Amino acid sequence: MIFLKLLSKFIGVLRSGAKPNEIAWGFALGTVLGFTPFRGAHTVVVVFLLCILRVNVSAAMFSWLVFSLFAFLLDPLFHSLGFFVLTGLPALVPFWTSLYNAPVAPLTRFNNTVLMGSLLVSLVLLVPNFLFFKWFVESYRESWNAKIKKWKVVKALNASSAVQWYLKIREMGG
Amino acid sequence: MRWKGFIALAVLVAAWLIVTSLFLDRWIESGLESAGEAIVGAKVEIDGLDFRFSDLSVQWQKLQAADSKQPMRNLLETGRIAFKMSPAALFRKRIVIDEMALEGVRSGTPRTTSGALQKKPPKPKTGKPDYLDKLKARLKNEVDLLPVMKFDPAAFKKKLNLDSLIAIAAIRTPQRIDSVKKDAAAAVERWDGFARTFRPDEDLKKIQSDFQGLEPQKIKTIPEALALVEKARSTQKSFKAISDTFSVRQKEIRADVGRLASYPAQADDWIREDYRSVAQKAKLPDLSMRSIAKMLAGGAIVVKADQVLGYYQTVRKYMPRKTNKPEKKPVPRFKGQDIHYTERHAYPTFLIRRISVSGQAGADTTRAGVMLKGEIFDVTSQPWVIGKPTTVDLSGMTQDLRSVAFQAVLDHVTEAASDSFHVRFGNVSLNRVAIPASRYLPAQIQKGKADFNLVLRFKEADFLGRLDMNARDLGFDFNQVQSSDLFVDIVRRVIGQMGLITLDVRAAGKQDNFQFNVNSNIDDLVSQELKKMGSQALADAEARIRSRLDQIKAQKLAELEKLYADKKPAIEASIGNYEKWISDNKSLLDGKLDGLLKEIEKRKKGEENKLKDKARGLLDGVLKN
Repeated sequence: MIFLKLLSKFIGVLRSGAKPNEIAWGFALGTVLGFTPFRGAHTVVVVFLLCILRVNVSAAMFSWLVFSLFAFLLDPLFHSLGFFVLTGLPALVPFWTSLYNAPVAPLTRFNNTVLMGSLLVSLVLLVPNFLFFKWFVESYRESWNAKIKKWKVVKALNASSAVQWYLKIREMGG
Repeated sequence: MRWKGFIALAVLVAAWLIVTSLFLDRWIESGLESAGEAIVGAKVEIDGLDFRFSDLSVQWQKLQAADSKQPMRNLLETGRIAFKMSPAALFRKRIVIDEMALEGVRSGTPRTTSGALQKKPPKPKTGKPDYLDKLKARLKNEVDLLPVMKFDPAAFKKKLNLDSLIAIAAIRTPQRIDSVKKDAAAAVERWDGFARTFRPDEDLKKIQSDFQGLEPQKIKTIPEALALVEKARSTQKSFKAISDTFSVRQKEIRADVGRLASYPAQADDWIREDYRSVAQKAKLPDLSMRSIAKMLAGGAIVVKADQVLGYYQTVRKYMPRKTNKPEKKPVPRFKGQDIHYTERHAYPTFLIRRISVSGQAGADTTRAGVMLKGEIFDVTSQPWVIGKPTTVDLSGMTQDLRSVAFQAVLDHVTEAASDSFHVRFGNVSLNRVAIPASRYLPAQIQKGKADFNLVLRFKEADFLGRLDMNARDLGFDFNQVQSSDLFVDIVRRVIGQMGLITLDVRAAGKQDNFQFNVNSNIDDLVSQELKKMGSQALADAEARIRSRLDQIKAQKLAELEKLYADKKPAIEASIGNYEKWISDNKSLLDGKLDGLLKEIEKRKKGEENKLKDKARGLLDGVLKN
C-alpha cells in the first residue's frame, strides 16, 4: 500500500506544477539513499539536504524505495568495488589510514566496503541521474502523459475495483 | 533554502535525541547482552546499566553469564562494575577502557531461571576447518580408534565359534593334505603298475638254470670253453638288464615311500601356519598392551580438551593474529566488510588496559569457593596496535589449603601468534566428584584429593599440551554401574584398590603430525591383573584352536595313511625279495663267470705247458741225432 501511495504521489508529482529540476534532484538524492546502506553519516547529509533544499521529497522517497531493490542486486558489486578502493590502491592507503585514525571520520563508516562502493557509484551517477530524471519529467509532461492515459492497461487499471477502492479510501483519509 | 524543511529536520533531530536519551541505556544493555551471548553461547543478563554521556561512564549492578553446559548455573556472576570509556577513542569509533574492576566475581552460582538460549538452527560453518578444528578431530579420533577392551572368558569361549573361524581364516592344511593324498594315490598306482608289469620270474629262472649249467670242470676243449664263456656273458647281460630295470623302479618306489613318510612332519608346519591365521581372525587380545589409561581417561580428557579448545577458538576469533593485508571475505548482503587501517600507538577497536579481578570461584552450597584475585592486562581485539600481548595472572587459596593459579600470555602482536596457558590446582577435593560415564570407570569418587598441572602452548600450527595429575587417598563408588564384563571388573577392582593414581597426559602436534599419549600407574597394575586373570582363559582358547586344527590334521593324515598303508608292506616286501634275489644271484653269477674264466686260463696254461713239453722232446731228439 505504501508503494501504491508513493506511486500515486509520484504520478501526481509528474503531473503537478513542480519544477522538473526539483523533481530530478529529488530522484537523484533518493537514488543515493537507495543505493547506500542506511547507517552512515552520508544518510544524515542527504536527509539534511532533502529537508533544507527545494527538492521534491516524494520523488526522493519513491526513488529511495525503488533503488533499494536495485541495491540488493548490486550489493556484491558494491562490496568488490569498495574492497578495491579501500585496499587495492596503495596510493590511497595512507589517506584512508589517517582518516581512520582521525576523530569522527570512522563514525562515517567510510571503511565499510559496501558503503564505500555504493556511495562511490551513487555519487558518480548523481549528476547523470539528475539529467536523466529531468529529461524524463519533461518528456513525460510534453508527450507521454496523454499517450499513457490512452493505454488500455491504464484504463483497465483505473476502472478496476481495487483502484477505485483505493481512491475512495484515500479520499476518506483526506 | 526551505525553512519548513529545516524546522522539520530540527524537530526530527530533537525527537531522536529525546528517544535516545530515554532508551540508550536499554540499547547498550541489550547490545552488550547480545554480544556476550554470542561469545558464551548462553544467556547473559545485565541489570541496572547506566550510561552517562557527560563522562562516558558505564556501570551496572549485576552481570550473570549462564553456563551453556549447565543452564541452571552461572559461568560467571559479578557485582557492581563501573568503568569509563576514553572520549578520544570513542570519537574514533573505538572502545578503550583504561581500568575496570571486576569485584565480587563468582562462578558456579545457581540460577533461578534456565540460562539456555532458544535453540537456533546451527549455522553451517563456512570456510575450511582451522588448525584447532583439526586438532579437536584428531584428539577425538585418537580415542575413538582405541579398541574396546572386553574380556569375559565365558563369552570369549562362546563367541569363539571354531567352525566359522576356520571357514573365515581359510585354513590350508586340509587342501594341502588332499593334494598329498593325490600324490599318494598316484604313488600307489605306480606301485600297482610295478607289481603288474615287473615279472622277471621266468627270465630269472632261465638265468638261474643257465648259470647253474656253467660247470668249468666239464669243459674238455677250448671251443667248449669259449662257447661257455659266451653263454655266461649272455646270461650276465640278461641279468644286468633285469637288475637295472629293478634298480630304477626300486629307487622310484623308495622315493615315494620316503616322500609319503615325510608328509606328517610337514603337516605340523602347515598346522602352525593355520593356527596363526585363525588366531589372527579370532583377534586374541594381547594382554601386554599399555593403553589402558588412555582408554580409561581418554574420553574424559577429550571432552574437556574439546571444551578448552572451543574457548580458545573463541579467544582467537575475537583476538585475531596480525595480517598485513586484509583478505576479502564473503559477507551477508548490506553488511559489507570493515577494513581496519591500524598503526602503532593508535587506538585499537577494543581495549581494556587493566582489569582487577577479585571474587570467589568454585563455590557451592556445601563449601566456600577459592578466593580469587589477580589482574588481566591489555585485553584487546588488535594487540598489534598496542604492541603488547594480553596477560592474565589469577591465583587463589582457601582455608583448607586448596589453591588455584592461572597464568596466560596471548601474544598476537606479530603475524606469528603464540599463546600459552598454565593452570595449577592444588589439594583439590575429589569428594563425591562424579566421573563422566564410562564402562570402566566408577560412577563417582567418594573421597580423595588431587593436584593438577596443565600447560598448553600454541604457536601457529604447533601445539603442545601436558597435564599431570596426582590423585591420592582415593575411594570409589562403582555401585551404580553394573557389568558382566570381566575386563571391566578387573579394571574396577584395580582402580578400587589404588590409593594413588598418577596420570601424565601429553599431546603434541606440528602441522599434520600429531601425538597423544596417556601414561598412568593404572597401566601396569591393570595389565598385571589382566594377565593373571586372563592367561588361563586365553590359554584355553588357544588350546581349543590347536586341538581343532590337530584333529583336522589327524583325520586327514589318517585318510592319507589308509590310502597306501595296505600297499606299502607288500611293495616293500616285493622289492626286498627282488633285491635279495638279485643281490644273491649276482654274486653267484659273477662267481660262476669268474670260475669259468679261471678254468679257461688254467686250461690254457696246461695246453701251453703240454705244447712246450712236446716241443722240448722234439728239439731234444733233433739235437741227439
